[in-house]
Amino acid sequence: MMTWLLIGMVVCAGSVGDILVSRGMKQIGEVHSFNFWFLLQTARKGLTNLSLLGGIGGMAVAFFSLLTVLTWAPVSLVEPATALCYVFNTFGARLYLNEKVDRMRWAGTLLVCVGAVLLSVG
Amino acid sequence: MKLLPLLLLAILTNSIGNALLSHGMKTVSPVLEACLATGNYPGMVLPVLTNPSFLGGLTCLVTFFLLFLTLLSKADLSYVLPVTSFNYVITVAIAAFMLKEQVSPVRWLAVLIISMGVLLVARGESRTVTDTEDLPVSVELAEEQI
Repeated sequence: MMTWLLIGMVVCAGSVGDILVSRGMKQIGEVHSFNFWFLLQTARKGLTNLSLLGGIGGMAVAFFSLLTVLTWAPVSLVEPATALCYVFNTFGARLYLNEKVDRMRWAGTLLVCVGAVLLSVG
Repeated sequence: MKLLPLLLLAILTNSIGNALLSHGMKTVSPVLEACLATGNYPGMVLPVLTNPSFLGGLTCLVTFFLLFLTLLSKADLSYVLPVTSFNYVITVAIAAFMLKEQVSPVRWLAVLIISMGVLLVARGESRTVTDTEDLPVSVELAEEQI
C-alpha cells in the first residue's frame, strides 16, 4: 500500500513539477541569449517566480519519494510505473498549459512510455 | 541559440551525467560500505565529494537541468520531455559499447521503440502558437492602449 502511495507521489509530484516549471519558464520569457548579464537577469526573475519555485519543489518531492520507495521496492517495479509521467505530463500540458497535442505527438509519447517500461523490465 | 543543438546538448549531458554518477558511486561503494559497518557516517561524505566521476556526473546533471529550463522557455513541455528521452538510447549505447555491459534483446527492442517515439514527436511543431503570439508587438501594444 505504502509502495503504491509513494509511486503515485513520484508520478503526480513529478508531473505537477514539470508542468509548473514549464509555466514558469514561459512567464519569465525565452532564453534567447547566453550573455552573462541576460542570464543573471533571467535567474533573478526565476528566483521570484512562484510557478518555477513551486515546480522545483514538486520535482524535489518526487525525487525524495523515489529515493524512499527504492529503499524497499524493486527497481523493476518502480521504474516502469514512473514512466507514466510521460502520459501525465502530456495530459497536463494539454489541459493546463493549453499546448496543442496532435495525434502524432500522442503516438510518439505513448511509444516513449512503452519503451521506457520495456527498458526497465527487459 | 537554435533548438536542435540545445536538445542534443541536453540529451548528451543527461546520459553522460548518469553514466559518470553510476561509475562514481560504484567506485566509492566499498569505502561507503566500510563506513556504514563501522558507523562512521561523516566519513562517507569526503570520498564521494572527492571522486572525479561523481563530481563530473553532478556537473553534467546540473548543466542538463539548466538546459532543460532553457528548452522549456522555447518549446512545449509535451515536445521537450519525449524528445529528451532519447537519453535512454544514448545511455544503453554507452553501457553496451563503452562499459561493455550485456544488453538483452528486450532492451534493444525498447531502444528501437523509444527512437520511433522520439522521431514522431520531433517531426512536429516544437511550440504551440497562441493567438496573441501571432500578433506583431505593435498590434499588441495598440490593443493594450485601446
